[in-house]
Amino acid sequence: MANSLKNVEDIIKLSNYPWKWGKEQGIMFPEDREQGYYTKNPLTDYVRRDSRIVYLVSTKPSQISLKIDNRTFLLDNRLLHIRDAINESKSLLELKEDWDEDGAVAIDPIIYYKAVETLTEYSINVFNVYNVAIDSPYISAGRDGSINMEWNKPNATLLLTILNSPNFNLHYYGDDGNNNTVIKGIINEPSINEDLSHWMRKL
Amino acid sequence: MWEKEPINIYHCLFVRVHSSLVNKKDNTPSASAFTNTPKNSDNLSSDWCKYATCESTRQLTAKISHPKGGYKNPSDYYVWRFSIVELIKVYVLQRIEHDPIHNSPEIDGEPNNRAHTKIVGDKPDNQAEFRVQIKRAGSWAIAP
Repeated sequence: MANSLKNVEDIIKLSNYPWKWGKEQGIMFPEDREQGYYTKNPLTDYVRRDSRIVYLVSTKPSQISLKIDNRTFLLDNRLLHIRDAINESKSLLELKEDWDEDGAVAIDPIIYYKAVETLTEYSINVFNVYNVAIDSPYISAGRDGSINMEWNKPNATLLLTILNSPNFNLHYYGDDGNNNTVIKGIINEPSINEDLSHWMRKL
Repeated sequence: MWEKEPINIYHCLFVRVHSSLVNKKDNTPSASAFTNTPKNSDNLSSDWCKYATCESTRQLTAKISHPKGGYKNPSDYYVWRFSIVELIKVYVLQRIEHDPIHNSPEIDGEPNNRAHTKIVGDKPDNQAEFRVQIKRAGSWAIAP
């Protein structure tokens, strides 16, 4: 089967997003390609045949989409757990005033979206630059309307807090559990902070 | 009426943690569990172990007014034990003030509490650092 492939570039091209379901046996194929004849190969991928070329078409798209507010992000499928954590955290938007029975404020969607966009952008950046798929954080609401994203691993703790303020206001603190290799700071711009991204390789 | 007493720094303090403030991933208090209560005050309420146990701290909840009427439910709360020695090391020095509550007659929804102690302190500029460090000053007394 592999001998029939035209070249590697075709495989890569056809593995790109987006995908949709074909009519034949529920096989997925790229939207910009005509339907053809597909057979399953031993590696659980599919090939499309026509008179000249055989394409390898992955049934597992290499990228996944994540829609946050009015922005759409494309993530490598090795970051699927980040998307899952964000989707799960959407319940924070349902918290009403006094959700902790002690005066906590409801979560402003703008603050929530700032937080999960930040998480998404750093996840993508760490993956693209260091080829590391970071773990998903625990995303929670603060009593003051802030959003916290925390990782507690045996050798690395990191907390990102997006404050409940009109401007972008990210406070972060991380260490290795022994107050060594500490990273901390306050960021007022939504652009990627390279030092923080570098440290996040540990997560 | 109970006199305010100097706090023994080798004692501990108990703080109620509402179930909504527990990290569902690792069952630790979530990052903002120990911010001031109520949010506009300058302190976090606790109970001094000289006059309270973790269980009495939890059970006292049943006498505190619920914002929606009636009283709070103790089973909605867990209890965190702070070492005072560790607490006062946290980033910006925390001040611990014994602040017994006594009204005669007792006010419905605001129970008398000889153990009541305020954890007062200027919170640091970096909220994330404070939230990580204060959690390290204690452990569960009544865990989820």
